[in-house]
Amino acid sequence: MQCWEYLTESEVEKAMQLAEEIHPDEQRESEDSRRGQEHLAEVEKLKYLGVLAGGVAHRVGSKSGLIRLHVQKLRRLIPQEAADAHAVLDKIERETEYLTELSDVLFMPANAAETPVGPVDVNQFLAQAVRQAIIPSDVELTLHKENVPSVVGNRWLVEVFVELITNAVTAMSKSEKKRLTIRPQPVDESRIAVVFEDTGCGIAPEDISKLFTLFYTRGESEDLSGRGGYGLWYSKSIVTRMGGDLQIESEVGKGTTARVLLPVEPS
Amino acid sequence: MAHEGRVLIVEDQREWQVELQNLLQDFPYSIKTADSLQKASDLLKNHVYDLVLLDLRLRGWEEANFDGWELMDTLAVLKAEQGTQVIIVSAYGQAHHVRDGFKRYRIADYIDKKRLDPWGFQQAVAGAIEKAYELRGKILDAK
Repeated sequence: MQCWEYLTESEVEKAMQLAEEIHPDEQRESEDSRRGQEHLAEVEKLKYLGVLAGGVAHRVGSKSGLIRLHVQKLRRLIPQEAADAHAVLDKIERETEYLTELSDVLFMPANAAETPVGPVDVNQFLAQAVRQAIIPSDVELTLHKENVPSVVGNRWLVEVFVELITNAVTAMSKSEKKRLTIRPQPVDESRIAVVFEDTGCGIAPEDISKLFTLFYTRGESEDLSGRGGYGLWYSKSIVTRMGGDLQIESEVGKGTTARVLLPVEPS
Repeated sequence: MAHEGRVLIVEDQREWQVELQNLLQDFPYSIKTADSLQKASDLLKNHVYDLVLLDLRLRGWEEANFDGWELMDTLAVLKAEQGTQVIIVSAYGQAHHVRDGFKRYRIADYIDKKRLDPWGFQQAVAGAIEKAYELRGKILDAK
């Protein structure tokens, strides 16, 4: 601590003050590292859940295929005139279809994780997602084509983009102003963000943390058959397994901004 | 009239082995089953098959485990030597496997177990066996 010898008392005091002022930065740093750890824990949780869901999906999918075959056999055994019995078989087939669809959805994160990744031009994938999504004509859509580097991903990103567009459109169904802006933008050297900004009804702060929970619905998106509640779960699972993230900010009555963060393809 | 055919079902789930055999019981096929990669390899080494019905995941479900796919290179050789055809029958095959299957290995068909249509399945099997006969004829002619 030789430097003390060269400082006057007031300079030492000033240094102490400065040190105190630096303190909040340290707090911020530890806050950042806490958030980083929370993010890692979240990524692990999503990964674990994705693997578990994949295992369940594989069994459910395989069994639903068998149920379908058994129902078809019963149809041949039951006389055509037994309308009531055939009506019951119709119901079993409908429920089986639901199980098959459910297994398809539960399998999505595993499916995405098993699909090889490579360089992806997000502008191209966004254009594809816009073509694929159902966007009513009264929605004012602006898709910005930006010169951003290729990211590491696979075709499942299109599904994620379609999901985010669909959510935005649904959220704006009762809005006076229906504007959806989609824009890829650089974040830093290693990441880019794809931003989806809508003028929809928005989400209450207490609901935001629950959005990524499997089967969580806010009422309006779930129809009577019990479908829904998985789009944001698989979207978040898919992008985190690719080394990215999905973040949502919202203000009730103003709109929602979803940001898909994606790792840049190393050059 | 369907050709007599020798069919190998490579499938780990007993229920699916039974169902696939049931779907083919009215046809003049002789059917063998193998529930593992090892058993399938042994049977393929010692017998000639017209068609292999191949499941891609032979140990239930483990993420990124497609041990059935490991047979593809062997099956490609058997196709060239004996005309053996392949139909992949899977609940959760991957798009890249389907693509590679058709493009690189020229598989005869891909069937989704979740929505298997019995008639379509029987047609696919009969068509593949016919193809195996045709191809084997050409191989023999070339010799």
